Amino acid sequence: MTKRLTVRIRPDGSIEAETHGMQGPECLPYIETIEGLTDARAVDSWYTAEFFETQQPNRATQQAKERNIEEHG
Amino acid sequence: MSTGLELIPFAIAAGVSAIGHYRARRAEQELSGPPPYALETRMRDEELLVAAAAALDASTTGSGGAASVTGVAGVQLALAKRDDGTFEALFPGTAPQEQAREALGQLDAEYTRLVQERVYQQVIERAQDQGLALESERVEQDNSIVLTLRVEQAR
Repeated sequence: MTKRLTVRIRPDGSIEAETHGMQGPECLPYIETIEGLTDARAVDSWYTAEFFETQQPNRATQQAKERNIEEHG
Repeated sequence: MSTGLELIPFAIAAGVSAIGHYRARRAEQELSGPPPYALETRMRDEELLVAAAAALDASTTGSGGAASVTGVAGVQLALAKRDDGTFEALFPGTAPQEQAREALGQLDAEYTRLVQERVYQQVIERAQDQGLALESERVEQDNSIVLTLRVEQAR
């Protein structure tokens, strides 16, 4: 999957940025990259919907595995 | 894992409103007439501040952390850098507060527009060195600029 950053620069000077297409902690170094690109510091952070989209199948897979173990020993 | 961030440029003081607290600059009984007063601002960058005043057709004199601005919303104000790096705007006691706030509001709006322009330029100029390629850019209805950058070299 192509990795991307989106940077929204508002007319009031504030900035919102998001990483896309990144798995696990590989998005974390980009926090520093975005701060360096914009001469700004992060004042808030959150996981995007994409984070939950990639996490839910993993949980479902784990639950299926657990059911399989219970059913078949 | 993908993440979202809210950032504030260093040119703007975080957590400070565009027009901050009012402070009288001397006791009212010291001299006759209304006392001069100061209004806090969130502006930190002198170069952008002077450019913002110029964009409003105001004249500016002074440098090195202090400037006098004439002609924003019909008032004269002096700007002085505080210890926390922000500028405070000083007004003569005769300047109505409403007019002073109007002037500062205009200055702040122009200043943040210039911050937006500077951040845009910086992202464009620095992207390649960070292993990023500009994929698209657009201006939204609220005048936000949205840049999409493709990662060419993973970090």
